[in-house]
Amino acid sequence: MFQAQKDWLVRFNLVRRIEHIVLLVSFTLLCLTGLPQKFSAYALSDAVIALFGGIELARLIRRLSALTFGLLGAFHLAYSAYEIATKRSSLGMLPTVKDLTDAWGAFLYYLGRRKVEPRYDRYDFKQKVEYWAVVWGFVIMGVTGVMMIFPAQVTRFMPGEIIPAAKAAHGGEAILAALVILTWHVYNAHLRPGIFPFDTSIFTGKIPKQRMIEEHPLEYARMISQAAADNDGSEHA
Amino acid sequence: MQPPAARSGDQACLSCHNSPELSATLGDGSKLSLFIDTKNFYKSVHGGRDVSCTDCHVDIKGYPHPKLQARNKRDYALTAYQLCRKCHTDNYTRTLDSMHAKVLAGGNFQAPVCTDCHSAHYVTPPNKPRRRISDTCGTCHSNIYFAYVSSVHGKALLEESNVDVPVCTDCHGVHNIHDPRVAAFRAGTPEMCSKCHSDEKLMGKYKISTQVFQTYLADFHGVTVSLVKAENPNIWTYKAVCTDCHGVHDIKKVDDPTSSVVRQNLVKTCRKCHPDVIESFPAAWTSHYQPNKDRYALVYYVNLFYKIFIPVTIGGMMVFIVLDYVRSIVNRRRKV
Repeated sequence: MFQAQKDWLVRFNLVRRIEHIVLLVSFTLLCLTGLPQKFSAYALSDAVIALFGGIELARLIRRLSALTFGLLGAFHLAYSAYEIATKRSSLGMLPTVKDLTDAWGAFLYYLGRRKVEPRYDRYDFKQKVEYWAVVWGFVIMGVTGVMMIFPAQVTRFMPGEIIPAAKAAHGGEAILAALVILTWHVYNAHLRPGIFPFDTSIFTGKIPKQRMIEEHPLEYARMISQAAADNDGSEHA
Repeated sequence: MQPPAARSGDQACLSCHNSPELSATLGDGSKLSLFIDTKNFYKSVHGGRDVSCTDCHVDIKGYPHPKLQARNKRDYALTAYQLCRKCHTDNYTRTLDSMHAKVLAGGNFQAPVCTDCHSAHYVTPPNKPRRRISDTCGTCHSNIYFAYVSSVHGKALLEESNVDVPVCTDCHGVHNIHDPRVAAFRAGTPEMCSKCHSDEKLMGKYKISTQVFQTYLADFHGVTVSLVKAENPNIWTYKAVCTDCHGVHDIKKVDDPTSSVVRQNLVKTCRKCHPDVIESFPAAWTSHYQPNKDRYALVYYVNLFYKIFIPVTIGGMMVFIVLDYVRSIVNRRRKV
C-alpha cells in the first residue's frame, strides 16, 4: 500500500490533502468574518469587514464558508467510515490509554526525567489533541451557529435563553479554536525545530523517511513488516 | 418692574407704532399690523439690551418709509427674517442646513423661519421655562407633540417640570435640524440615546441602568447596526435601534403596562420584525442585562466555562510547546 520513493514515504492520500485545504480555507474565512463581529467595537474589525466588501458581503461569504465547513465535516465522517469499513484506514485517530501515558512520558522526557521520547504510532498524542479539538469545535460551532441563524424556529421547542447562550458558546469556542491554531498548530506544524518553517506533508502527502522513523516509529515498523509480508506473498505467487 | 420709557432712538418710531390700529395694506389686500407693544418689547431680549428699531430695520431711514413690496403677510415674514442674520450670523447659517430651510427652498412657504419660533419683536429666552422649547415645536408638529406629551420624557417635563428629560431639540438639534427619516439619523439613534442613558450621574437619580448601550452594542442588533454605520452611515439597516422597540416620541417607562417592551407586550414588538415567533422568543434577547447567576444563568455559566476552559487549554498547550522547544534546543547542543 505504501510506496517508498527514495527517502520519502506517502502519508496522506489525495482526499485527505484536499480535505485539509478545504478546512484551512473555510476555517480561516470563518475566523476572519466572525471574530470582527464578536469584537465589533474595534477599528481593526471594521477594516477586516471592509476587506470583505462590507458586512453584508462578509456575512454571505461567512455563510458559504460555514456551509462548506459543515459539508466537509459530513464528508469526512462518511469517507472515514468508508475507509475503515474497507480496511483502507485504521481507527488510529481514536484516543487510547497509550496517548495519556505518551503525554506523561513526553512531559518527563522534556524535563530530562526520561532518556527517550515515547514511540508514537501513526498519530501522536499532540496530533490527536488537535484533531479532536477540531471535531469538538466543529460540533459546538455547527450547533450554535445553526441556532443563531434560526432563532425563531429554535425557540419553538427550546427556551429563548438558549439563543444568547449559543452566542456565548459560539464566541468562546471561536476564541479557543483560533488560539489553538495560533499556538498548538503553528508550533507543531511550522515553528518546531526540525519542522520549521513548514511541514509540507499534508499538502504533498509525503513525509521524509527519516522523520517517519523519528516521529512515527510504530507505524514505520508496521509498514516495513507489511511490505516484507507483501513481498513474500508476491514471490510465492 | 416698570418698563423704561421709550428710548430717544425709538421715540420717533413709537410715536406712531404705539397705535394698535396702525397697519399697512399688502399686495393681496390683507392688512399687516404695524403695532408695537412697547411694554413687551422692552421686556424682550432686544428691547432690554438697547437694540433700537433701526438696528434691525436698516432700510428705514426716515419718513415716509419706502412702500412695502410684500404680496401677503407670509411674503413679508419670509423677507423680514433676513434681518436677524446681521447679528445672529452663526445660528442663521446653521438654519441653512436644516430640514426647514430645505422645505422652504422646495417651495413650502409655511416652513418656519427665525421669527416663527422666536417671534419678531417680543423675543424672550426660548428655553425659559424649558418646556417652552417643546411647546414651540408643537405649534406645527402637533401630532408628534401629543405623542411626546404621553411619553415618559414628555410627562416628566410637563407634569413635574423635570429639566433632566430631553425636549425636542436635544435629539433633533436646534437650528440645523436634520431630516430624522434618513439612514444616518437612524444609525445614530443608539449613540443619541446613550448620551443620557450612559450618564451614571443622571441615570443614578432615576435608578435606570447605564448598561443599556453597551449591552445593546454587544447583542445581535447592535453589532450589525454599528458595523453598518462604520461602513457607511448612509446605508439603511432594518436591524433594530432603540426606537424600534421602545417607541420614538411615545417612549414609555419599561414597566408601564402600555410600554411596547414590558414583558406582556414584548412578543408583539418582536413580531414587528420577526413575524412568526412565539412567546418563548423574547427571552432570546437579554433585555439589556449582563447575564449573572440569577438572570440568564445559562449564558453566565457558558461564559464562565470558557473563561476557565480557554486559559487552561491554551496554558497547558503552551507548557508542552515551551518544554518541547527547550528540549529540542538542548538535544541539538548535545549533538554538536
